[in-house]
Amino acid sequence: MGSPRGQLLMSYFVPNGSYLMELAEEGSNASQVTALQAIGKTIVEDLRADAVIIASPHWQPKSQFFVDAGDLHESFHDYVLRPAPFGRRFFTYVAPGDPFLAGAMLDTGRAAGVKVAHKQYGLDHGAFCPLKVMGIRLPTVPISVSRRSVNECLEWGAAIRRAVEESGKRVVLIAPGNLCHRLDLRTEKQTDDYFTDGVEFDRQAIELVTTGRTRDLEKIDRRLWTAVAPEADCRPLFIIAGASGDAPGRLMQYQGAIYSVGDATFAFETASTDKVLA
Amino acid sequence: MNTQLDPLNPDFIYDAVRKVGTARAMDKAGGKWVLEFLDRLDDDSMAIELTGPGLSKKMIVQEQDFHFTDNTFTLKPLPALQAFMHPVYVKKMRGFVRGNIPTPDIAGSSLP
Repeated sequence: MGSPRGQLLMSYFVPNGSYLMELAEEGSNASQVTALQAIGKTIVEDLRADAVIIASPHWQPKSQFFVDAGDLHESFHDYVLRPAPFGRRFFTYVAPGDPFLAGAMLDTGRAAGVKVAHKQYGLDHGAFCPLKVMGIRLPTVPISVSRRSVNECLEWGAAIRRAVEESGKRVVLIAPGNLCHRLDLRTEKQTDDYFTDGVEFDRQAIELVTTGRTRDLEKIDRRLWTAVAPEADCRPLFIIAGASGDAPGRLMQYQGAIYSVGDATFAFETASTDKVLA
Repeated sequence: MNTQLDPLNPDFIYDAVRKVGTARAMDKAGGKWVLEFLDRLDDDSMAIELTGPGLSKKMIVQEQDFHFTDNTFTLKPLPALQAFMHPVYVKKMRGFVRGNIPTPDIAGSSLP
């Protein structure tokens, strides 16, 4: 008799800016921080997850998807260590790995025809910042958000879900990213408005994600898309769409006023297999 | 050798305008080296330019051509060079070689 069926408990799209670690350390009640802390509490206390999969938007190789199947993951600094607004303080994070789950993901991905391989990588800030603010230290599988097509992201997401279900484990997928992501326009002046294209892109993106049409993000007007340069071209959301069975995202918080960076937090339940197969 | 972490003079930066990563290192004799990552190709090989005392060379390299320790890197096509950097920036560069796109030191209109 095989092991009990595993479950993709939830998926989350969350901000990953390194400044969130500073805010959390300072006891900030900013909505981006409190939402991450609430998610961490949910993962540990309510969902009682066995492991998390973290898809960093800053891990962007081109040739294929990668999974770090190591048994220990250490952070490295891929953000600027300078005083604000262009740099941040020095933080570290270490998490145990889950080689069994990672291996299952590699096997299931390859069986589905997804180009995926193991690579030792560790945790960049796109992965460890949200995990650190969440306050969790569960077995973790880092994966890349590679520069692959939307369809490949959807297929890889679906394969991840199958791997989780076959693993017998209770797993949460976290795919961080920002909607609008124009770091060159960013300002920390509290009085500055969010720029017009950012407002419009984020509005359309939130509408699509919250109504279960995440994969239609790629249909947003290309001029607008270019103007706001969404982080990792929204691939974290496409991976979630594949994994969750196109579940609608519940908007937990949104901030787009201070920076030209759209900090949105979405929670996705996992759609039934029947819907995925339909 | 740079043994102090000096955030104002980082050993590895990413320029999102040029889409180029730049490492600054020192050899055993104190010679200064600059390694620029000019492009990542579709197979994840990298176009680089290495410049140091008496040398300026462009080449295509693979991740496997790099060897990292806590505070050095070596490159197969130039085995005589042992390049020293601060450990924080060696790790940052190692991540870049493995596909990381850092928060840019010089912000551009898109990332990468």
